[in-house]
Amino acid sequence: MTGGPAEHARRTADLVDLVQRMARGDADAFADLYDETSASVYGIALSVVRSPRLAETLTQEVYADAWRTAARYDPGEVTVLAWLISTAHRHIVERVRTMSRESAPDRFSGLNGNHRFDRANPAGGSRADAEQARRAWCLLSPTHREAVTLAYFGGYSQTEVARMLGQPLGTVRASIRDGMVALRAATGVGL
Amino acid sequence: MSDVHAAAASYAVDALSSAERAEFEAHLDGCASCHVEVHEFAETLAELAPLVASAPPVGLRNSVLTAVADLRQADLQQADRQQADQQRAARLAERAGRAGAQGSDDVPPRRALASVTELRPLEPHEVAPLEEHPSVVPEMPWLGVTAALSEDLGRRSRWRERVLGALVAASLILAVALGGWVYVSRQQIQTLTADAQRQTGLLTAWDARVYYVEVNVDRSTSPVSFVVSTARNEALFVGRDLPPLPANSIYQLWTVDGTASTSAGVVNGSGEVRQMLTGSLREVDKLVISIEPGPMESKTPTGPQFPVSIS
Repeated sequence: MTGGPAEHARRTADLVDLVQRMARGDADAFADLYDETSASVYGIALSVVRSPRLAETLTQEVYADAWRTAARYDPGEVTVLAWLISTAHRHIVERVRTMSRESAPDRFSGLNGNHRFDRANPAGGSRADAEQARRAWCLLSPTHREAVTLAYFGGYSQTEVARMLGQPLGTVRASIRDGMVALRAATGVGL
Repeated sequence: MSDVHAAAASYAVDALSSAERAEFEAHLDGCASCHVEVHEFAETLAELAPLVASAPPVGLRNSVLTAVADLRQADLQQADRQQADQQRAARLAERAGRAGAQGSDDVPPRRALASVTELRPLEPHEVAPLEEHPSVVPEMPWLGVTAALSEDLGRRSRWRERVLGALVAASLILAVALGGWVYVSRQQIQTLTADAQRQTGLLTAWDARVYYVEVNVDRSTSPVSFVVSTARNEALFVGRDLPPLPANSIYQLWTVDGTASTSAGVVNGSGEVRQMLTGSLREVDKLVISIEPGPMESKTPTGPQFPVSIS
């Protein structure tokens, strides 16, 4: 895996092909999609729910949903990875918000320490992709990184984030927005 | 910029309450700029996925594939191949329904196997190498969790290869009926080889069947299997801990048409052996494993033979 824009584009096109074959009932394409993307989906589930067992369950639900809805994927709108990861995150967050401290204890236990927002975990994917993500991440100001981390990787609502950080809701919302705008620029999306 | 536009980022990271989200979605329908922005943020977040990517337990793959075999898609596109593909999905679903209906005390001499539906997920102890490794569970140092991220990249890379190997092993499936038992191999394969892909294709072929026979040498016995797909014109030999042979002797595989035997390769390796048979299965009515004097392969079977009839 060398990474680079050409490799990135080829991989993006390959994923579209897989989803279109899935839409026609091709189980092999589905298996390939799983192999290509499961580390990302599982990783996000794990970062939000913080329990491997629960993350597995959610990942399975996400892929079952992807199989059912493959025909609705529109390559003209977003890439497969964005489609899959945004639906996955939505699903994971919706599930976890209905859970109690009893049913998802790990989710709450991780937040008691002092928050450090200075490092990202470059595991999985190609090294080039990981390196790019890490670079983009490191460009964020600590305030923005904190808000985006809690909201996205932690799965907390902006209201919860505001409470956790002791900041007004409007401030947190602006941090999330400014953080996302900065990340969009740093990752080269929309250019 | 009004408040409602400003919510696009919070919407993209799923940080809105359900009431806030409903309000934003009502706005989103008619706002092209928010529409674009939401998509761009989704792409941005997809680019960030490597920050937390983590290989799932190998057993999850089988669980996921098995689960969807039982599903019909919510809607199918009008494609020429639709009908054939639907039939294929239906067959998978049917097999999913049959899974678990097998008894171990009434094992037919041969039976269909090798659909993903007959595999069981790996138990936790079988994937221990994955769970033991610290980097599998993201450390989330930014959330204040212990940061054990000082591992050098080289170590990560090696681990990545191992994880890949584990995934490949799972993809090989290796659920083989040996004397009526389904077992799942844990052998780690380091790279996704063409051979591994062939094996996966064979094991998941719709018409794959397993035939087994016991190999006896002196008082030592070992059940072996042949997984056969007539549609793919391929067969896989699977053995485990074959009885030891005298010096130089070898196990050799054969395809047999009537009285004509064609060598299908020498069995290589010890422990768990999985090996594609060479040659065609057309007109073949028996598969044989025999014991040959070695060390070179024999032209025709000369030693003890252990045949299975295939149909």
